[in-house]
This record gives sequence, structure tokens and C-alpha cells, in this order.
Amino acid sequence: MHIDIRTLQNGSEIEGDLCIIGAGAAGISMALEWANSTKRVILLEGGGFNVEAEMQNLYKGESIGQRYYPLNSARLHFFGGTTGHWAGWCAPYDPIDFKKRDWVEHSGWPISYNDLDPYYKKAYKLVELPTPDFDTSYWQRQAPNMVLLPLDKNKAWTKMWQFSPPTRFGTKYREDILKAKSVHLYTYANLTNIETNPEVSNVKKIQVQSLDGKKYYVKAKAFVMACGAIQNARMLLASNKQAPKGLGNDNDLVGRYFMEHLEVKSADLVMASEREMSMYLLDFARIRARGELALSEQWQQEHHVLNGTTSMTPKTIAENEKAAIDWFPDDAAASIERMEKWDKAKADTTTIKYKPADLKVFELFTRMEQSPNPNSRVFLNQEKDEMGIPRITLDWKLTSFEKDSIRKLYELIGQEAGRTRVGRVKIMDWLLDNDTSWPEFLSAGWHHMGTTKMNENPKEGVVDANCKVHGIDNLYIASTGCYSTAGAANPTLTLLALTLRLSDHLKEKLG
Amino acid sequence: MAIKNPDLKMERRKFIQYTVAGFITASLPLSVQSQNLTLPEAAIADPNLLSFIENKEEVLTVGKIYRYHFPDEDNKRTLKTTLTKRNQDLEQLVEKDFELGNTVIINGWVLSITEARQCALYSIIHSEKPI
Repeated sequence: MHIDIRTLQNGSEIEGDLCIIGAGAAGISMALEWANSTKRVILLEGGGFNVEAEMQNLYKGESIGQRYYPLNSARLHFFGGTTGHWAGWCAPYDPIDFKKRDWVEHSGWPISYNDLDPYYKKAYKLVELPTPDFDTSYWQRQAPNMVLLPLDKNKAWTKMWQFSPPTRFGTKYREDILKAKSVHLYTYANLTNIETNPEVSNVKKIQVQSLDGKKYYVKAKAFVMACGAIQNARMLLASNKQAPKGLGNDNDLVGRYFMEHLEVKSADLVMASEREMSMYLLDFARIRARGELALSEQWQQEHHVLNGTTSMTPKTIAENEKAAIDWFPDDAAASIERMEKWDKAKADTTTIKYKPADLKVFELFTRMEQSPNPNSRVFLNQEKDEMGIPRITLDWKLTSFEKDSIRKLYELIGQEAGRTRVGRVKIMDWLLDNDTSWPEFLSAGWHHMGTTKMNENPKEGVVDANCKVHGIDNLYIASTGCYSTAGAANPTLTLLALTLRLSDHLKEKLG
Repeated sequence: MAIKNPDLKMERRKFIQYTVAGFITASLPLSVQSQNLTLPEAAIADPNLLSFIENKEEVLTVGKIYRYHFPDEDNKRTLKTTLTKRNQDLEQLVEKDFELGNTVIINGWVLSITEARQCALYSIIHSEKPI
């Protein structure tokens, strides 16, 4: 069922068993899990079914740290959320991503890879991947020309990515949500306050507002915030009537540990001889997977580096590509349009043709986690949006650890390429400077993580292992904001797995 | 470790960017005599890098930078002695260097220490200009 909340009378009260705030990848995935439930599920979406400038304006914020994307277009504020301009890259996190690593401060999740594994095996369907199997051998059976580079697995390995079409949750699952008897979708319903009991141990109701100024209230047994890592932190901080520092923020952790994936061209690989490289080349129209090079857990530990991968793109092609940070538009509609064009190009089998000359030199492009850093953060500023909610300031901060790790990654890949007679690696100038400077073209994945970090200790995290906000017994967060570390891979598949796990927990809790 | 020497009269991109991974400087005392100098000089001074990148200038640059930072090795005799002292196939030595992490980063290239010395020798043989 769908209701445009603006059609309801000012002050109306809505009641349900479970209230999911936000209808992006996480919110929709969770609602689908409850589609046949006897429980009444309230699904709130701040926008409508399409991108609208005035809704995007609510997401405006300032950025004062490392160069970053415009906050009003990096996130999408309508049904389907940021999947509206998602690129569709999927890979599960590695087991090491969840572990406490003594060389990575603030690392370690209270859950392990094995806790998420059964949910990864369900999540792949939501994003329309052909298989839950990310093993290279599976893909080699599909395409025998996908030959692996002869890496020593104790040092480096080939990590597989799969590509979602990409699934635009807003179009793919719209009918399923509208038809679901137990799910009541309210659009144009923006969360503006979370009201707790005086002890701040239980959410009594939330206040929702539409742009026309009308206010509504939602009561439920449990609330799940699924508005994205930045917006969730913003609303926890802004809900400060009962808790002056904001909800879940007794220890000044909400909004801290903002993390991204660093995406940046970093080196070249000059091949010693011609090789079959299909395993590592993008060819979306023919096969929706490819490999990237990664360091083994053993080598990461030995050399004290962060987790990341490097992709290989023929230099002749890569040198004509602009960095994402340089082309990403300030207008959300334009960002969607750009991704739609890219989707069409990907589906065209004539788009990518690699000539032998293309396979002589490869650009090595880094995707790497950022280390958890409490000084990298979002916080409320003085400006308010049209609904009176303070806007957000992003202070994205990187350290020398990230740069050192990327440099070491290529030194080690260079050693392995040399040992195996694959070729020679040349590291780019910017990476050789032993300082904390970053090139202008340093990009990120518009992956927002860590702002409501998961940790069993309330002094070190905002949510516990079940994504419940510490100290509040019915407030949960389904978001990449819960990530304790950023992991090597793009976050969407893990977000879905984490959300499905939370959903199971809530089913048990709510009976 | 990254070393930049502003006195080195080279353009920015050619500065040495130098790191050592388990690298033993291994400068031999001049008294050490090579056991096997039967290989022609040109064969000793023929780094794989040259065949991969097909850019003599770049190999010359790498060689010059190596010599600048290792002045003890900045002569033909020492380099030839060092490169041949183990009486082993140079290709195998290069591979072994990579396996053991005996590499240097020069002008961005991740090179085996043996290969870097070959570049140095190459630059002595092919360049009259001192740096």
C-alpha cells in the first residue's frame, strides 16, 4: 500500500509494529523481508518516486576536509535511494575486514565474516547477480579464457567482482512493495525528530514532516533508521530534546569515523609479453565479473597495510578517462542521467574492443579502505534546511597511513609481477612523495561509512552487533554507517547482508 | 625511505624515489674479484626493463639515479663484479631478488636490485655525461 503522506491531515498519527525510516537499498530490502508478515510495517520515504530538486536540497551540506562530492547529489532522496545512480559493483568483504588488526587502530567488528556469510548468499539475488559464487574457479568454468596471473597465493590473489545490472531498487521493487499487504509505504515523509522516554531508553514515537509544513507522528514497537550513513548520524544528533548531545551520542561517537573508499590511479604495469588478460578486463556485455589484484591476509599483516585491490585497465583507454571527483555533477538528476548513459554503453557489445596494443601497458587503479579515524567526521552546522533541521558539515580526513598503504601495495604487486615475469610496475609520482598530500584527482566511491560505528562497547561504538543503538532498546540502524571498518570492497552487498541479518533479529524480537 | 636530492639537476619527475625492501646494499670491497666475467659486458648491462619499456632514455635515467645514490658502485668494475660474483644466471638473480623483496624503487619503477645495477652499468656504458 502506498500513501502520499501529504494527503493526510496535519498531526495524523500512524501506528505499526515496525517502522523503517528510509526506502533505499537497506530499507526496501528489509521491507521485502516482511512483505508476507502478519506484522504491520511502516516504510517511510522522504521523497517521492523520482528525483526532485527540492527534496535533494534537504541533503545539502558543506564539506571542509579532503575534496569531496557535493553532498546533495552524492546521495539520492527518493524511493530507491542512492541505488538510483549506483554503479553496481559487488563483492563480499574479506574475512580480514572483520578482524581486529593490531596495525589498524579502531579495527575489528563484533561480528565475523561467518556471521554474514549466509546473508551474502541471499543478498546476491536482491542485486540480480548471476551467482553467489565469487570464487575465480567458478568464473573460469563460465569463461575458460579468464586466466589467472600466476600469483603466489600467500602473497597476492585475484579478488572477483560481480556487476549488478545495476539494480535500481526504486524501479525493480516498486510494485513488490506496493503490493505487499503488510507494508505501508508513505512518501514525502521526512523524519524530523525521534522522541524517547525521559530515560532515553526507548523510542516512543517519531515526528515526520512534509515540505508543506505538515507534521505527522509514527508509533511502532521497533524503529530502523535506513536513511544512509550521513543522514542517520544527522538525525541522531538533531534529535536532542531528551538527550542534549543527541541520541546514541553519550560518548561523542555519532558522526565520527566517517570512512570512504579511496579510488585513485596509482601506477602502471608494463607487461613483459603478451598475455591473456580477460580475467582482469571490463567487458560488461559479455561477462558480468572480473578480477582485481589484492594482497593476501598474510602479506597485509606482514607489511602492515590496509586492505584494497587494484584494477587493471589498458593505459590507452584509462588515460582518456576523467576521475570521478572531476565529473561528478552538483545536480542529482544529471548524475542519474550520466549513470543511465553508462548503463546503456555497458550493454552495447561493440563498446569495448581491446586491441593487442592495448594490452602492453595497464593503468593500475586503487580501491582501498580508509582506516577508522575519529577525526574524520560529520557534524551539525548552524544552517537549517527547509524543515528546520540543522545541515551537516563533512570533514573528511585522511592520514599518511592510507598513502603509505597504497604505496606499499604497489611495491608488493611490483615484486610479485617481477617474480612471476609478468612485467614491471611503475608507481606514479604523487604516490612517491612521502607526505600526506593527495592528488586533485583522488576520488572516492560515494560510499559513506562508519558514522554509527558498530562495537559491543558503548564507549567505542554507537550500535551493538545487532545494529541496535546502545542504550535504546528499540532503535536500530540499517546502514553502512554501522561498519567498523570500511573493508576492501564496495559496501552495497555487505549492507544488504547486514540488513537481512538485522531483519532476522527483529523477526525474532517482535515475534 | 624516500630520498630527494635537490642538488641533483634533474627535472622533478626524474628525482629518485627510493625505498628499500630487505635490500642489502652489498657494495663489494674493490678487492673482491669476480669469479666469472666471461659474459660480455653488453649482456651484463642488459636489464629486462629495457626490453619491456623499449625506452633507452628511461633506463639511462634509472641507472644514473642509482649511481648517484650509491657512489661506491659508480664504476664499471664494481658493478660488473657485483653482478657476476655469484656466478649465477642474471635472470634468476632478478627473480630471486623479487621473491626476497630485494627491490628498489627508482623513478617510480619497482626494480630488482640486480636489475637496478644493470641499469647503472648500462648508463655508464651508454652515457658519456656525468650526472
